[in-house]
Formats: sequence, C-alpha cells, structure tokens
Amino acid sequence: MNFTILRFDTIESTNTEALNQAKRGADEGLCVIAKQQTAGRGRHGRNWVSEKDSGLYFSIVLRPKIEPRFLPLITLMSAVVVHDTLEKLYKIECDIKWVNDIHVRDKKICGILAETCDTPKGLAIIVGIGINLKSPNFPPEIAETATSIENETAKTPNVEDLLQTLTRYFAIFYEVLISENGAKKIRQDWTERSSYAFRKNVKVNIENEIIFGITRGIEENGALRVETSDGEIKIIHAGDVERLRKV
Amino acid sequence: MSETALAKSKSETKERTIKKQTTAPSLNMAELRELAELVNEHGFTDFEFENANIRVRLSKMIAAPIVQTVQPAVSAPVAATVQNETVTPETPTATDEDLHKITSPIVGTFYASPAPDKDAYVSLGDKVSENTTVCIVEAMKLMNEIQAEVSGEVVKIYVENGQPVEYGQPLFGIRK
Repeated sequence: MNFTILRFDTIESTNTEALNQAKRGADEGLCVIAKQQTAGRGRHGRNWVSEKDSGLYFSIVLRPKIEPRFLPLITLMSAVVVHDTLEKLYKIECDIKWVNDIHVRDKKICGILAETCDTPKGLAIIVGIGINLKSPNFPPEIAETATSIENETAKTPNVEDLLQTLTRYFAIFYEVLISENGAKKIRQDWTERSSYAFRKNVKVNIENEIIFGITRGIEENGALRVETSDGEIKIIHAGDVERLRKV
Repeated sequence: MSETALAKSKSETKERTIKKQTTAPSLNMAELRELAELVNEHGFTDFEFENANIRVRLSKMIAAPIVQTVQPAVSAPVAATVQNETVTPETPTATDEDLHKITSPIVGTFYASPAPDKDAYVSLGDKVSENTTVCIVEAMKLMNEIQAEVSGEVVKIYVENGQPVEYGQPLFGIRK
C-alpha cells in the first residue's frame, strides 16, 4: 500500500476531509492527519476531544476488495494495528475492548471510527484513528477514563515516529485482511490481543436495552457473542461494552 | 375411490376436527400448524376460517403475515412524540409490492438519525433523490450511510431506531 499524507494544523474532522477526498476520487492509502480537530467525531454523533497537539488525529482512505460481510473486520484490524504500534514503539501493554477501543489499565488511549461512502471509484471506507499523545487538558469527566502515551511512558512521544510505525503496521495487517483466509487471520489476531474475547463478565449498553453476560468469542464478521444468565447467546453488532468487576 | 375424492374426504375430516377444536377461545400452535398443512396440501393461496370465538386467515402470497401494528401508549413528552411518528415501523404487506424497498446491505444496527439528539435523516412523506442519506446501519463501529438510490417519496418505514437488522431486510418503502 502506498501512503499519501495530507497534513493540517487545524481541521474540522480528519474523517470528514478523508470522506470528501474519497468522493473526489482519492486513491487507497490517502491519509489525513491534523494537529487539532475542531469537530472530531466519535461513535453515533459523540464528540472526540481533539485539542491542539494532544493527539494524533489520523484518517485513511481504503478501497478494500473483500466480501462485504467481512468489511466490519476492518475496524478490528485497525485496533490490532494500534495495539501493536503502541507495544512495539513504547512497550505499552494494551488491551482491545470490543470492538476497537485501545485500553491501558482499563483507560482509553485510542478510539477508532470507520465510515463507508459511495464514490465514483466504488465503495470507500474511511478509518479514523485518534491516539492520545498527552492528557493534561482532558476534561474531568474524561480524565478518569482516559490516558495517553505521555502518561504511560513519562515521555513526550515523537509524532513522526508514531505515524511511521502506525502506517507500517497498517500496511502489514491490511495485506493480511485482503489476502486469502485473511478474515480468519484477523479474527485470530484480534482474539489473541483482546481480554474481551472470551470469559469476560460484561455489561453491554445497546440503543434500546442493557445486556449482562459473559463473552463467548466473536462471529465471522467480528460481532461479539455474549451469553446471558439464562444461557442465551446474544450477538452484539453495536453498543458500548463495559467490564464488570467482581464484587 | 379416486385420488381427488380421497383428498376431499381427508380434507372434510380435518375440517371437522378443526371446527370442533376451535370452539375453544383460541387455537394452539399444533392446531395452527395442522391448519397450515391442510391449506398447503390443497394448494390454497388464501384460507379464512371464522367462528364465534376466532378468525384465522392464512395466505401464501405475501412475504410476511398481515399484522396490525399496535402503537404503544406514548408516555414521553409531546416533543418526542413527533419524532416517534417519523419512525413508526410497519411490516411489509402485499400492498407494498409496487414500492421500491431500500434494504440493509449488512447485518447491523439501524439508526434513523446521525446522533440521538438529532432529527431523523428522513420522515414519512419526505421526497428523496438517489444520493439522499436515509439512515445509518452500524456494524462493529463501521458506520454505513445508506443512500436512497432512487427518487421518490418515503411512504413506509419498516424499522425502529436502534433495532438490529439483517442483510437484505427492508428498511424503507419508496414510491417512485
């Protein structure tokens, strides 16, 4: 994969810019990075705090030629990429909270959000990755649940090193995903890195209900299997998963 | 006895049995199944049965049973009621056959609006064109914006906000 990187000091949202670039015909591998986002987006309209120089705000255009049912695995693959980047570069021990939040000691260090869009060149997928570099200015409600590379290593990370390793791992795992049996390999990679894959007591907040249960692996498209107390397996495609601590 | 006569005789026997059983206030599942088998056996596309206690209608021509959607009592504030009305789900029926169905391209969760506090992308009666975004289906934090792909009017909304949807499930009915 060849990367072309567009750099911005301040931008509304790197995902929005990458979406617009894709609609104008940008090739796979186009990346948008910014030092600051004024309207960073999280899942389902949530705000992503994106203060100047506090994070790496990164979005990439993909045009994957894989079976549509496996497309959601791109977000699991992206989590594996960030997980390995942080471990390799900074020796930070990470966990992947389903589906693609990167956690360090139960605090979030990275969030990932992907979007599809129809373009003249066919379907494109934009993967947005926000990695916390520093966390001095987190609002109080986020400070308790978030961390940053600086917090974990006591050093200010070099953004260029981070970007280089991130794109290198992205190319490696993306090649795996689009190769033969790639979906299965990515599921394995994800499962090996996530403590949420099996036997985790969780609470799942879905749009209209809350489910309690124990995780029982993932489906072929990355959906989480949760067994409830009456033995029923619920398949979760969207929702916030929380670890339940033993009382 | 010819095959036709035999079939008729069988059917009369079954019909008598069912009539006898339906003097109870309702049909149980076994009786319903028997009724469905009887209808199927004779190649009927429509079957209706009625007595003082119950009315049963079976039809093979439509994809889903005819269900009268009963609206739950709304206890939410008036402002929320307006929003609810725009996403009142309906079951596709035979009368929807002439509508263009916008279906879900993936298994996931249906969202009528870009965020919980935002208005729905489209409401009943709205005019849409090919590129109009009508909803989002989320799967594993991959947000799939669904476009109308045809021009017309939104006349049916088959799913509710936050509802899980299957591949190919009808989401909207558009009158072109």
